[in-house]
Amino acid sequence: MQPIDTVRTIETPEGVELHLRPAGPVVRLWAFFVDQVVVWMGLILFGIGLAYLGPLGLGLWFILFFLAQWLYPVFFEVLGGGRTLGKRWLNLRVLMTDGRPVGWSPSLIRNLLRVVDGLPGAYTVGLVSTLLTRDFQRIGDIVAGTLVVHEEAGVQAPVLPLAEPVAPTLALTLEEQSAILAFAERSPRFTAARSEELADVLSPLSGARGAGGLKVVLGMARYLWGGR
Amino acid sequence: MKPGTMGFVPRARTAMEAVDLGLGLLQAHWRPVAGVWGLQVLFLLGLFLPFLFRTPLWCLLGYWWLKPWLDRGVLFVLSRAVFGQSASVWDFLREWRAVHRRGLAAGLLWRRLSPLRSYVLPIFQLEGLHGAGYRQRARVLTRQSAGAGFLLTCSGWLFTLMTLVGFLALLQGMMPPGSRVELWSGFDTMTLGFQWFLTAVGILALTLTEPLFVAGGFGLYLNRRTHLEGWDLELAFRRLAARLSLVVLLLLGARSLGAQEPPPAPDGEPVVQAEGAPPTPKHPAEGPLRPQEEAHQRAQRILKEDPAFRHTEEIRVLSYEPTGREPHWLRSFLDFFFAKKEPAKPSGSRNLDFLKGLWDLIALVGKVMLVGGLLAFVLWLIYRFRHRLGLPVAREPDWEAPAAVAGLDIRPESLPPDVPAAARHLFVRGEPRAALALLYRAALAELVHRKGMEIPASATEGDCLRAAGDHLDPGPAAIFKTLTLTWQRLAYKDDLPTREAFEGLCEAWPAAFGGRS
Repeated sequence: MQPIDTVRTIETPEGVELHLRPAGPVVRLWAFFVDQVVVWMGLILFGIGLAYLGPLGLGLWFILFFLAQWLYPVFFEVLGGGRTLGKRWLNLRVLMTDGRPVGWSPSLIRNLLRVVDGLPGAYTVGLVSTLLTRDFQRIGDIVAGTLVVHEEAGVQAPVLPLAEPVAPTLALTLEEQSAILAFAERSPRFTAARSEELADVLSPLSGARGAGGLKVVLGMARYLWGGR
Repeated sequence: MKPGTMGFVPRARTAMEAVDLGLGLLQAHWRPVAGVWGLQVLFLLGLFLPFLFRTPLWCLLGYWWLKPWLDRGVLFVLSRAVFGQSASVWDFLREWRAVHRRGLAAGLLWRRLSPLRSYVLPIFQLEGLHGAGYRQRARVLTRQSAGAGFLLTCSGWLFTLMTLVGFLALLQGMMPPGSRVELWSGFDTMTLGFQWFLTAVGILALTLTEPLFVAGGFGLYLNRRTHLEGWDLELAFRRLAARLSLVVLLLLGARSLGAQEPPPAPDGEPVVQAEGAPPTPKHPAEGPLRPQEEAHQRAQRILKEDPAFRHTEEIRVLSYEPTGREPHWLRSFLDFFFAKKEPAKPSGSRNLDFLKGLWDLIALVGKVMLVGGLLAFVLWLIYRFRHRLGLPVAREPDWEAPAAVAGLDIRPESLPPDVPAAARHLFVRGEPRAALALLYRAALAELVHRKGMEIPASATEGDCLRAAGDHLDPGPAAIFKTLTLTWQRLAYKDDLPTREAFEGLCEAWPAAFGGRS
């Protein structure tokens, strides 16, 4: 059985690998909640203004209500890079299943189909659908071919502990290099014993155990990062 | 921990992604979870049977309160799933004691209402910690993702409530058209039948949402441990070490081990198939223009013959007509479901009434805000120009004496009891700067604390001198002026006063500034 992962790797026609991390119902519930709060606050504010226009205001307010409920997500998703305000808040983004940005038509479809996902009264269909599909898609997502994903955190230069740079004795693959760098970056947050234990796993490479081995592994990280 | 034995891919994830990892585990192992859950629910049902008949809602409450016990089954299955094993109902029964031994009472009593219930459950169920050890461990493990854990708990409540409402709405929607049954009004009457129904729906809703909540909390727990212990790094390092040992032994199989199979690509996009287009009406052959009459006839013919205009609709409605042969209970049962509403009574305006009420409310809020804003503005205007209106002006509220002025400590407690004596002592010891500083700041302290002179901490010597003029008689004021000038000369020009000048100041000091003797 394949181990469970939150990352889906897809390959573009150009041979680029994309890593998408579909977002489940819990985080999406809160994005929806934030969006609804925003929409209703806007509607109430406009309502107060329009109330002075009498029945005309009521009519205008209903038009506004209609637009806000149906088109607010569409506009924000297409023009805001797949993110409504709630999704922005919770670091979510709507993408096509192949990783492309979402366009007008898919966004419209997935938001109009909220009618179906909202059945039979409080999004039960949507909840069940996200739980039944592997990529947490509700019916609207399935039909429109879209996906709600967790946003990639911005990449920052790692802060590495000081150590004498050591060249690894073996050519390392990209994954191995990034594992060693990640270890050096995160090791200040491990307990000292755990750091050494992890470094001990690499003792065939570092040729030492315990504190000495840890030093060598940290040195390799500095070497890989460009220290000479 | 070895590569290949793990049931999930450890990574340093964000908290919300970790919740989704838990959901992924649940998705992959939902069958055993459902089995164990069903067993537990049936067990409770048997336990509650004596109460079920009279007070079903208490049973629902019992289910709700015993959720931590039900969670244990879910967590048992998921904890096996972490190591890629699929637990069965039999495993659960076999491990019954191990599953329930640790922290069951705590979970059902004082940890029942914890806002991070599913997040901390693994700490006592799987790690078996209790007491101070548990508290310390829980503090460490929930330090990073407590916010997400709380959101997860709230989502648990919301999802349960939403599912409950959804099920009720679904059943209401399934009623035959025109049915008199109104489920929502059941909350007013709370008949026994409705209570049973509500209990059943409640258990269903819990079944759908509770495993989700447990799995999410378990995901948070796993992710936090991955962060703290570097599980992902350990796996990567082990893979590297394995490759290395193979390289060293010059074995050729290294490549296949190092390579990782990517997960299969997601299924193809679903295809939306449009319904067949409606049949286009057949037009009779067109001829040259005919007189109007003929056109009219033709139109009539088309209306009559063309299938596009002969629209018939068949509506099938489930209904019940009593035959008089069915038993009494069946008849009353069916009557309940199929009885028609009384016709007539146009109730179309009810919706609009509601909207009008809403609208009136919004208008009222606006009115209150407008009037309130105007009122506040008028009050503010009055307050702003209270001086010109001749209103009594309140004194500035309590002025607090600063601890130091121009860098000199003027708190009374920082001064010696006999200031001139202390100053003389300092002067004799060869510290004229300290001596004069003491005299000066003691004078300031007296002015501020006894004479009620109000100066801010940022006041300069000049400010102090001007302010002192209002609070001192001419004699002491002159002495304060001399003191200030002497101090300034010393402080800024390093110009030492003569011994006589200093002595003069010391002698005049107690009389001028009141001293405390």
